[in-house]
Amino acid sequence: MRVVVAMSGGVDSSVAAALLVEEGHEVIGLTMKLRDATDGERAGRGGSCCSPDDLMDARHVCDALGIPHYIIDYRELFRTMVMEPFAQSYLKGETPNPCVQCNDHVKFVPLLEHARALGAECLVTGHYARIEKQDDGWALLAGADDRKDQSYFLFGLEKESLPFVRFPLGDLSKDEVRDIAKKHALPNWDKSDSEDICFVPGGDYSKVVEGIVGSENTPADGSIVDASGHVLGTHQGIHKFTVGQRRGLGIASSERLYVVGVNSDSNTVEVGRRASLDAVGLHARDCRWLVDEPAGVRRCTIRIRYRHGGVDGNVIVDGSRALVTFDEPQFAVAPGQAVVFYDDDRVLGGGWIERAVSLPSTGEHAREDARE
Amino acid sequence: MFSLAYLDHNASAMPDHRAAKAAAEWLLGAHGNPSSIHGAGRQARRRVEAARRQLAGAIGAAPAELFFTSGATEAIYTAIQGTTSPGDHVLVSALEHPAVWAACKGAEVDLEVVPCDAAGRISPGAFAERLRPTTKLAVMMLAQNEIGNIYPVRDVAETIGQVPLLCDAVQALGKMPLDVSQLGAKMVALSGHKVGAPAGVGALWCEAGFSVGPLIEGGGQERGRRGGTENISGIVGLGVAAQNVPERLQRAAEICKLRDALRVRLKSRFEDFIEHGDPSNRLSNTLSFRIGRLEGGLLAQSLDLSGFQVATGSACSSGGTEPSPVLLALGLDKSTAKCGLRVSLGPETKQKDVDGLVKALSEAVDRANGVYGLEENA
Repeated sequence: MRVVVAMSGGVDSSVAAALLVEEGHEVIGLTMKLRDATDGERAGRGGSCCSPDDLMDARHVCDALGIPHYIIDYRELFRTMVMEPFAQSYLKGETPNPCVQCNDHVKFVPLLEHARALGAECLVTGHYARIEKQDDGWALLAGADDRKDQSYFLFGLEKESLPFVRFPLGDLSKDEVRDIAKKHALPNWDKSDSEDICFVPGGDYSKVVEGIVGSENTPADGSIVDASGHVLGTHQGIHKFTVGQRRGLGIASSERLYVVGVNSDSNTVEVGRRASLDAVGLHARDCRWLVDEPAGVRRCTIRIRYRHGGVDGNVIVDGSRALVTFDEPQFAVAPGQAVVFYDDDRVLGGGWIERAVSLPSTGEHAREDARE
Repeated sequence: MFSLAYLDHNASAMPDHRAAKAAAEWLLGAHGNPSSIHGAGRQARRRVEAARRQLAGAIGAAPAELFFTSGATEAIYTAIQGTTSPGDHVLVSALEHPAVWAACKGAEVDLEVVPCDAAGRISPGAFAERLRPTTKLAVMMLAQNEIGNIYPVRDVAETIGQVPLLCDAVQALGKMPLDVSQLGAKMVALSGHKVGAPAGVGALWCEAGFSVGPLIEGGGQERGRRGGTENISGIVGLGVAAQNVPERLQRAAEICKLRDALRVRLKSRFEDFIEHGDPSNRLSNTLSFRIGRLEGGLLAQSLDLSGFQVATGSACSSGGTEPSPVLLALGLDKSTAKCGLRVSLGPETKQKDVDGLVKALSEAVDRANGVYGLEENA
């Protein structure tokens, strides 16, 4: 069958393409152009992803595999659906998860449609995740390699899309993937993985945010405060902080302080001791489900960020919102992050963290009362 | 296995085998630097001058009025940067090739655009209106590469009087009669690979006595007009290709019939087939159009997968598909401009290529409409 492989120029998507070619399908490589190259990237200094070198790498791999390769320009779409919401999220004091937005609004809708309009029966990517037909329909599962599993970012896939998507790397480990790349003599077999968000080369989030919103909208300096509102120091913009952060506070203190909250209304960053960051649950909004929407209390395993091992707990659905409670307190629940619900390795669904539900203690209650 | 139909001749012509053979013969059989005093050098010089005579003959020029470049882009840069200084007022038609815009930017001139109408027509009057006593240069192409329109260069030249005119004749050569002695332009840019010569060679013609500062001085080759050892194999190829231009022109009427038949069939098959440009005055081989709201890139990819090679209306560089400035200049908005497709036929095009294109495009359009939930074309 005719399939389209989304190729980033990295090893994973290249191996995905090689595997489909090996299976005898008619494979078409497609690379999305998501942003303009920086000057450094044009000069050949490595970016994080989607630089001209990456586009050329993708083309080079397709040439090696003997398959056609096209580039689609999604810069505007990516800017509106991923980059701007990313920046706005930081301005609201949240910690966004743009890779989910990209999957939801760029890869698995427009790109999938484009693939089907080209006559492809499915879109293939190099994600470490699995799609399987189970008794109750199509299911999304975590990838076999724990260290690389990317199912967390894919919870927003529409159930109706699952039959049209394939993840050939889902059963493989990263090492196995690299071996396959080597075996196929793919030109980029030893290219290093990009660990950063693709449009944040070098990991300097705040600088990218400033670039997107412009200097006139860049968050101003403000105060760093404690739970009672005492000013402990100053910050150079709330977009530089995320819940659970320890570094960059510039405050001399006898005990270790962490960012407990980022408040865009008061333009403050609240800090506290580690204990105050333990949450017993969270409120989630905009939840969607790959299974029938749970009624009542649903037991599941919950992941509150990408590199989170998961904690067992309960989710109570209320329309598009959910109240989630953990069996054990969890550190640094960050508003803006995705929360994803699993049943063993199957993704049930997920949503967006609105706020943590903290451990009850006099201090915390006093703070909340003061706010309301 | 399906056969390939190459329908993108305006991007690059299929090779002229005699030109390629001549170029290869030089590469495999001879050598020498045309500037050397010895026998090998004189041999190289002979070949270059023979090619110059061949090209001059094809365009109605005297050989000494031509110098060879690495292509039309370099010819255009030379023409613009060699006749202007920063701040000079320059009139440029709205539909010029990106090389013109870039060269003007590099030369830091005070650029004024002469607009076109919705069919891409430009009148000499539009130049006249904008003329100033200080205008240093005007730029008006002879044939437009995307929409195929042909322009009244001679009338524009007459209107602007003393102001020198640069004419980009890249698409015109080989597709329509070209006589630089009658054109009225002071400089004409030409490209080799549009007439089946190797890519990487072109020329700038300048009216006798009209001086243009060199872009690249180097060793003073080409009578001081373009430094650098000559691309002899390319030049040899260009000479032979130029010599074969009359043969190309003889095929123009037939190509026109194929193109017109294609147009009729597309119009009848697709209710929302819309043409761009001026059908009453354009190159015989070019058809620029869109079908409803479908993206040109998607259709071109579909067609490529079926073996039909066409262009979109956009300029592609490093993978970005900017909406074509040409279609934008016609008044289309950005998203409509991205729907553009360009088919450009050549002497090698057969009826079956056109028939196959219509069929392949039908399938591609139906499939896309199915996915995007658009209404079926009647």
